[in-house]
Amino acid sequence: MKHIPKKKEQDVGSYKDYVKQRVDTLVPILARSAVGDYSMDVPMDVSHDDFSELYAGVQFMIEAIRDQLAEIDQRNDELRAKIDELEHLRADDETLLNSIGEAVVAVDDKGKVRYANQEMIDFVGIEYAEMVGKELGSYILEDQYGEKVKPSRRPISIALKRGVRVSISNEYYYTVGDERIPVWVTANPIKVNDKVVGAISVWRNIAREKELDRMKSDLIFLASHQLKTPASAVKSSLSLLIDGYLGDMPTKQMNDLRTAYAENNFELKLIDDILNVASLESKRVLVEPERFDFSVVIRDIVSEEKAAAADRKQKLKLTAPAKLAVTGDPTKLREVFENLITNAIKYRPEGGRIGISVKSFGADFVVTVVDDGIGIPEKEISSIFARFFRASNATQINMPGTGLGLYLAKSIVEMHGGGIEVESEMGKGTTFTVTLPKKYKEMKHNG
Amino acid sequence: MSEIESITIAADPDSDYRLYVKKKLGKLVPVLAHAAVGDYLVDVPLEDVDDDLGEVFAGVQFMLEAIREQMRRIEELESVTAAAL
Repeated sequence: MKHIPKKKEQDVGSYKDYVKQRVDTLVPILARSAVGDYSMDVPMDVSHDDFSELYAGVQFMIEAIRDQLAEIDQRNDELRAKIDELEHLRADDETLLNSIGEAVVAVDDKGKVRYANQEMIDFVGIEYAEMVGKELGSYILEDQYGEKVKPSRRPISIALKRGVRVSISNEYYYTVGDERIPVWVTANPIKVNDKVVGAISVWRNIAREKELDRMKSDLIFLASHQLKTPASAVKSSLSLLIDGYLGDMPTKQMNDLRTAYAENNFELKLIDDILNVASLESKRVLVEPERFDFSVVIRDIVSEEKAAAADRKQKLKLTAPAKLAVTGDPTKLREVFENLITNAIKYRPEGGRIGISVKSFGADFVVTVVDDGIGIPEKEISSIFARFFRASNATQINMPGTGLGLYLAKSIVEMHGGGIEVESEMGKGTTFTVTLPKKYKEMKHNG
Repeated sequence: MSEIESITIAADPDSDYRLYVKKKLGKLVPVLAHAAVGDYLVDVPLEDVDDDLGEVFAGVQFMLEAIREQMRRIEELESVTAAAL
């Protein structure tokens, strides 16, 4: 700040001249300030006069503005550095997302695409610029029946609406040209301060995995088929021995033979189940739909299982309409409900009642099988339909089983376009609910 | 009747003018006092009088507005930087 001694008031003649001289000193400084030039200082007086406070105030404001400009420069530098850092991070993320072999897409809270990696662009076959800003729902996923997945069922919609991670496999397909590609889809919500601001979805082409699975099923099918022949021969020989066609046997040997026969039967049942699973998975066996009365089928099953239930002092109670015409595969559907009812009998302690009900609901019908048996541990419910899975409390009571029955039941129900659900409480019982369309809905295959 | 008009009726023209300037500059004192403690929200009283001090008053008001604008920019940069973090 410059300190220039000013002339005394009397040196410049009248007070009016003095005021003019003081104002004329300040005006050019204010004029430059008006065009953003704050480089000039106000010449500060050594002695006090009427203008001293004004001069000091203007100088103070000039210095305040200089400080502000310096702060703005510093903040601009910080912001530029932050933007550079974010640009680097963005480039790193983009490289990372483009390097992974899965299609990744990020959407905003309205479901509009904000980012898609190269794999996703290649997958849907649309240019990046065309994807961004459009709803991900424009890229249509189909279900196993070839129908468009409803907006409410799309994983990304669920993640956005409920703020939870969604993972769906073996159910969705995306068609590119003539090719129908099976996709494994996950969606994760993006949350800021607990508010969902968007979501990221990952699509994985699982065509190769499904092909490997089919090849594995083929191998299992062949191996099981080879095993079945000698096991069946053993069964025949054991039957001849037990039935006395080859002469009388001492009691101890007969007991051992009966044990061998029971074990052989279990082995054959396991082989049959494995063959059924392998056949279903390799699409070797398809649904053979025909029109039939489901009420007749379910009554037959209940009637056949009554003896097994009576052995365990249980009662089977069936509630079903007199007639229920449906189109489906009666043999395969019979297998589903035989499985559910025999499970209910097996896993319920002696005594009590098992309820089976059949109800018609518009285009669907619903079958429930309710028992008050041992129940399924809560953490195992989600695995109950997996291949070879057996609930820990079922294995603890040494009840024989292959762990394939419910898997087969679910597969057959889904082949018919239906669904199966389970509710269970440990020690209180289990309810299986099967919903099936009255008219068989064909599942669409790949390619 | 305004203050300025009342001053013009004084007997000694130079003395009257001195009084007028002092009174007019006195109106800037509260503005400058607030500015000195970082409060730039008080406006300069801009009267409809085109006198010797008119340009000075307008210039000071202009600087106040420039300071307010810079403060707004600083706040904006603060929020942009915070969001970028």
